[in-house]
Amino acid sequence: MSQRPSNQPLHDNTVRASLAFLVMAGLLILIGVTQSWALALTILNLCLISALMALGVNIQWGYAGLFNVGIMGFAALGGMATIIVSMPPVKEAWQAGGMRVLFALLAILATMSAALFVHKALKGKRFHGLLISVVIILGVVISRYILDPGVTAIEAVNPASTGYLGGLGLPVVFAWIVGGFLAAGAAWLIGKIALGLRSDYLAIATLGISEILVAVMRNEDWLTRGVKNVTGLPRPVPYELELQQAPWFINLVDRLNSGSLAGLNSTEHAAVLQTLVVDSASIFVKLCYTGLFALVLVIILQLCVLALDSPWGRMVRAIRDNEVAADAMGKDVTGRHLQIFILGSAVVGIAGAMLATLDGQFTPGSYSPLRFTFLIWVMVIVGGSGNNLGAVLGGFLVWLIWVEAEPVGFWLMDALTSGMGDDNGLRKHLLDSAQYMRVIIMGAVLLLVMRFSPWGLLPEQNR
Amino acid sequence: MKKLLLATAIMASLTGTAFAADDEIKVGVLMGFTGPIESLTPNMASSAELAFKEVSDSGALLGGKKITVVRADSSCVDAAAATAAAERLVTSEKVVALVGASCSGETTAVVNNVSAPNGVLSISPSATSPALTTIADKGFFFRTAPSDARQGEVLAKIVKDRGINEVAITYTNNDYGKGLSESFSKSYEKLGGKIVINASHEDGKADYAAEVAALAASGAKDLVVFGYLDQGGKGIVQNALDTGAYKRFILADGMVGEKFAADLGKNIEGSFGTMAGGEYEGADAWNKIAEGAKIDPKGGPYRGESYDAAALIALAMEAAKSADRAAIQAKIKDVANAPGEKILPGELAKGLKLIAEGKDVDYVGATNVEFDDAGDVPGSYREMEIKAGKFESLKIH
Repeated sequence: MSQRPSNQPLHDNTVRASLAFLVMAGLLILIGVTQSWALALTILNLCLISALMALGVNIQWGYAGLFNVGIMGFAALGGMATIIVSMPPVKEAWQAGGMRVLFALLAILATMSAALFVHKALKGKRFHGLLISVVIILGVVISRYILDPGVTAIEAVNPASTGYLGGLGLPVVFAWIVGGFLAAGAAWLIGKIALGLRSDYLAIATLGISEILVAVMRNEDWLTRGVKNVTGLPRPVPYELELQQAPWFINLVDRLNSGSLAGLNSTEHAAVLQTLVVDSASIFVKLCYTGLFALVLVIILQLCVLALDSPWGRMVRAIRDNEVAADAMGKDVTGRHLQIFILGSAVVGIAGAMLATLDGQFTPGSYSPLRFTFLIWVMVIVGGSGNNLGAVLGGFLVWLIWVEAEPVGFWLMDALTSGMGDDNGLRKHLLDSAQYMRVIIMGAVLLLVMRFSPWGLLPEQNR
Repeated sequence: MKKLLLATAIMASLTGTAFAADDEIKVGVLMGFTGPIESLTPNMASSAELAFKEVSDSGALLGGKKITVVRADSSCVDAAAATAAAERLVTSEKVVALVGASCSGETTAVVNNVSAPNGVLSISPSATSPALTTIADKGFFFRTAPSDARQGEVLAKIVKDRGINEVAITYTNNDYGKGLSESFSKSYEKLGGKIVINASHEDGKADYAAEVAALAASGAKDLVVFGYLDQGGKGIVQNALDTGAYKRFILADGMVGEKFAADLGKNIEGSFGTMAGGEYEGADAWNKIAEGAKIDPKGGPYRGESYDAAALIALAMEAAKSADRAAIQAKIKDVANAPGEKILPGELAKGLKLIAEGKDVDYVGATNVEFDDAGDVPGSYREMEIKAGKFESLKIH
């Protein structure tokens, strides 16, 4: 599964890439002109996040052939980081059980070091395994003994609105970095255990572990509020409602639109200005997000391009194309695999944190494999695995279709049945089911791309 | 070529919808047409559209204007997709108000990111999370379905009044089950009851033996089930009966349904619970017009609530004398709350005329709508008991 057929044709897609991105930009501008700029920017922001997620998966699959179907878990970890970093701490909860949680954490760390010590001291001797198990079981019992009353106390603190420890109250942008590190940490742990497995076993292991990660977030209320959701995450950008009141913003909008506002009397002027301010506030906020997300995407994309062009990139591709040969050349196959698994997961974690920031909430119940694992895979495959720009393009295109399939589907149904009367049963039925076109169109796109461009829209460049 | 086709398609779809006639007012219906509640939403949307059609057909709205409904899919779970769909309705279709969204999580995202910032009224017929009571919506969010917090209180009182002092609880692990279990526990303990175990279960499992064993070991004689009748809730009850762990169950609205009584009713004689709904003045009128419009009367909950949400938007429009977003929002409580002439389902034309004449109306609707300051409805609950294998309504709380 991790090896490509050797008969892959030669590809050079500089022209193709520029064209594809021009078309993408054209589509977004088209949405802006014909629907609304606020909608175009909303879609663009989510495109940027999707592109980043696809880039993370591309690092794992495209560079190294690691088949990770646990993307959902890493995205959720990134989302969880937004709570831990940005929500204000709940003082009562810390007083009620904070110390116990910290001590339990210490107990877990102590258990781990004790187990490591026993492992090193008794390696190869009798009772080695038995003693380690005893240490770990004792550690679990002790830490649970410390933790459980603390958890009960924390969850009893005003459960309808808090009932968790809260976060550190730092700016939410830090959460993007922390999300990356959380995902990287989890990937290290998973990689240590599972990367020795053959690729199909790795897929099953990651699928299972991602479900476990999300299950933990759904159930550990003291940490994430579980299924009660954390809403109202602080934003890195201004709030629309505040902007609408801010004098500097109103003045700015007034000045920018002075041409169209000129010939109006004062009451008309105020009314038109009010609408303009509301619209502009919404667009201004989205532009701020666009700037932040684009900055992150450009930095990470640039790093990816540099990495893939470096000797390291050549080594990784060599490992992907023929593990045995690379091993024989003295390359550390498992080491590189672990490295890449961590890097890719960290990028997905960053994207997950950005998504939670944009949504303004963390809802563990909403992480589903369809949306957070398989849709991202479609992005990578449609875009072209192994090609950084391809993954970005796939993220943009697939998300755009995911959102616009509904209005386009409605229009299609409307056009197809325009000859029928308004009370025609078939027409009614088709118009009512336009919402379900999303899944059909997505399947059709995947099939069409696979048929006419089997390496994706922007295939990997041979060098 | 494919992209060219797509571009053409998008272009054409937009030019097709961009020019609405002047006597048309657009209203959005934002519901989870795909996703976990996709079996409920078609009936909810039809109910809302029924109210808009009634208003348009009456010719009494703002001197004969028509309401056009634009549907959009909020997907129920994906906040990002819901936000994009709402953004399309609000900024591109320029709807004056929204019926929706349908699930609690996406509703929070839509209110925070789209409807409140743009000053668009949204009335959800089905988002029941207690968290929505305190959302910072600047008065632009209402809901016609009561908060789960209320049902927990009502049920706790019923249980205590029946002289039951000790229960075990199992709840489905999502915002509905968890919220309900917390509000129930709090009220029940305040009333002096004792909860011996409060454990969650996950939906969609094949076997609930482990969960039931833990619940049985607690020693309580009655089991409270906050779950779904076609999901884990039913599995728990089935297993508890098979093992003889429990004979009597205390159920909330997710479990009270005809299908449940038909499947297990004979074995759970004396079990009781609550369901949303009451002795509503408008219930008969609503059933009649729903039947007339071929909306399946057994087609799931929240149909009356959807009709009410839509009707309120139309009445508020008339009261505001314009289809302006802020003006509609300002009038919504006036038309929903007492005093005034009571308006039942099917009487929207009468309501519009009264408002046009400058009289005060009190929209009662299918579900006795009355908004409090947070934009919530108090909601009434029906006490149900299994008698001879069927749910029987005892009392309204």
